[in-house]
Amino acid sequence: MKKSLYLLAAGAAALTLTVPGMAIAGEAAGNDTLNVVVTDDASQFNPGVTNTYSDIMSLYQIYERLVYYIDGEPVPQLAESWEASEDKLTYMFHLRPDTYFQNGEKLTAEDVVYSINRRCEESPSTASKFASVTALDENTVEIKLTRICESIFSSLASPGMGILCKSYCEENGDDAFLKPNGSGAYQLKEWVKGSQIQFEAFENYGGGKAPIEYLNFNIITDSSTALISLENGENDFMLNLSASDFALVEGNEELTVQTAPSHSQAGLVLNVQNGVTADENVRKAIACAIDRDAVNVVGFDGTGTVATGSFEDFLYYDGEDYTYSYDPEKAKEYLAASEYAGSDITVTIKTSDNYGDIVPQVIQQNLAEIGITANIESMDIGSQSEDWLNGNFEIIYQAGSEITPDLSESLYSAYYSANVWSASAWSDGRYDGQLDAIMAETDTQKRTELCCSLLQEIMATANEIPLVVKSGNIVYRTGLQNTYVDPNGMFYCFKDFSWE
Amino acid sequence: MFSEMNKYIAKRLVMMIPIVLGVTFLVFFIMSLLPGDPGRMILGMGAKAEDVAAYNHRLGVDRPFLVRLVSYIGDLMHGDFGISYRSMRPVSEEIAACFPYTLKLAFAGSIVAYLIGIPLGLFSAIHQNSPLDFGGTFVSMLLASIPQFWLGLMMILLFSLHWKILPTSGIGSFRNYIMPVLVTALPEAAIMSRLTRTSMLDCISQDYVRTARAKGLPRAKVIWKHTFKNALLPIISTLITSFGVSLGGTVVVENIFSIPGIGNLLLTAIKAKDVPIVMACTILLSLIYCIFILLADIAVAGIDPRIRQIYLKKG
Repeated sequence: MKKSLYLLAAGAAALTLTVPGMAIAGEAAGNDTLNVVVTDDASQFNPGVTNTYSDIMSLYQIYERLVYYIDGEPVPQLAESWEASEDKLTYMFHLRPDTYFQNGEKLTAEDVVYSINRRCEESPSTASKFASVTALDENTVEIKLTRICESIFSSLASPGMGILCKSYCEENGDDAFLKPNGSGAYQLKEWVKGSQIQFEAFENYGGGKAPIEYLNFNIITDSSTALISLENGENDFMLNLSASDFALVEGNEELTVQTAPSHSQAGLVLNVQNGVTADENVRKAIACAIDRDAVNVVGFDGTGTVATGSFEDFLYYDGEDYTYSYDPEKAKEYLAASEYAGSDITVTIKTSDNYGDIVPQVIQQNLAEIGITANIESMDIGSQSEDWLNGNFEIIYQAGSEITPDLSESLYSAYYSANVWSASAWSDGRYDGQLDAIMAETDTQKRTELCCSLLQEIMATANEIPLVVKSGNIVYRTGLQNTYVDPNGMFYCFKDFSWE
Repeated sequence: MFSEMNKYIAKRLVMMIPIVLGVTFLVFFIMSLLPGDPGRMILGMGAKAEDVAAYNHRLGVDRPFLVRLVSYIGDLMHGDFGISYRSMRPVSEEIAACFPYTLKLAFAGSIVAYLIGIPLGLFSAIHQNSPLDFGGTFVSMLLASIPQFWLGLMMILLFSLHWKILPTSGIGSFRNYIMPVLVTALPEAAIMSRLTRTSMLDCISQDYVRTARAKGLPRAKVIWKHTFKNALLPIISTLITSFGVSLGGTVVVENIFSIPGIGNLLLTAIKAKDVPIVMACTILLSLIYCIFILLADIAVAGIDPRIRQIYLKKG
């Protein structure tokens, strides 16, 4: 009897495993579904909370903003059009008429005012840009700025500026962000915490119903498992594949890899205030000693491009006048001219587990060629950030993303003496005069010229050493259309994606 | 006698309070030593200093250590674990959402481990020094020494990518749990098998077993009634405590198979320096572990009158 029970159980288990009709859970369900791999879960669906990739990507589906960005330019989303006053301190936004929230309520200018004010309460730095936000009529919003600020569009396009339904939020409090109500192309269907976020296309979406009916974010925390789930057909779309995994999917005809230059750049930050790197000649020697082609090949499997612009501004300034190309002999000359000539120089490169230590190892070898001993200290991202902020470093290796499309704004926030937050900039006010002139300039072209000129001057000091602009990528099931690679690697809206 | 036992249990329960408070203090202290403030970690390096300061103020982490600790313990007494720094939702809600998955995984993993480990150990002991015993020992040592992440990835490669019969991850159905349960169970089964074998061999060499054999009892009766029953004591004790350990030890498995359990929650919270979640998970797991050790002691005392007497004398 017992034996037959065992046999029965074994048979049932084998049947469960092998019956073809029992498809793998999460397997692509056909042309009405898109399964996306995400590496983390959402915190909630609140534009004010953007801690994870899933937070940001979910917000992009559920809520709309006034504008969004394509190729570095703001384009209409909720705002059909806009105009700026001559002094560039007042903007008028005209909303798309007949736009509805997912609960059926009509979206009005009051909702926009409520959402922006709410965001300003959460973020003092955002608030500092806005003097007032007013609803002039049902479809017109007037925004007054405290100063000329071209990054206003980037602020309005950020995930935090998703437009909320005022009455719904006031009625539901915090629960409004567990059952979100936006005007975006997808509405939340179900959130299986830690496992899956399910969306369905919003029937009355103002921009036309999305071609793909169901959108699932499947949370897979382990990158190897995530890749396998794409290869075996459980998922259809994955972003930010690591360079080392490229070879694994390139030969797979069922998958397509799409790449584009990203806004993420790897580079070194040097301390200009303390230590050996406070000597400009030492910094220049380091800049000339680094073989950035080798960094690209070894550190990024050759998928990136050699960078020339600085961290803040490489998107808008190509750094064609950047003088520190790989030249070990010149590096030695700079070293000989430094106050450390003839003495042993030892520096520490601080990296974090987020960025790895392969690139620092290449740099270590490069510096050894000119007689500088480099130690590598690997730490968690929090400790690295802390050391960076406190000036407790000589060289920091980082590979961050730049998303502020305003050259003047980023220069002002990094180099104006009152704003200097890192020892990679000077706090003696040496650039304050030029920055004051830049911020007062209303002509965009002149402003950009002034910025580039100042940037060139700063970059000549080798306070930052650009290395490689990383390549952004997505991998998807062949047949998916209207895909794009977001240069920031996370701002994806799937409303225009469709299956062949 | 039962009132004596109850007194002993009550005493053990009271003893858990300083243990939990000690764990609370220790974890709180260690977390406070970690560099990087939560506001900076959550908002990122690009965030303005005033935004970071405002966020930290909102979280209350800009207060002195002792103020935060006392306030935390006070809240804890009222069953309030605080608000998660990341999600800004109550920690108890986050844990309540995750715990069932860990419980399911640990329970199923332990059951499978017992079902594999105990028979394997018995078999090895009965056939001591035979090729079958060596084979069993080899398999046990192999399973015990294979890292779980490697075993998990190999299983995914085989069952999900190559044969395409099981899903790589998720919690959608029974099939999603097959690989995680096996990866949780196999190393535990190896340990259980070794323990069962050793315990059985200890009992087999006892005089009463020899006497039973000399009396001419059938081999099966000697093994099941006289040997296995007595060998069960350490097995039961390990069985119960290992379930408690499993509840806190599924971090790797949960991460590989994306199971949204306590282990995954804890790992994410540590990375984000989400102190309230780390604190709550650690306290909860230490409490669970204490409870399971107590349960193991009670079970053993219930089975073996000699041990019961020792406990009662201590009590």
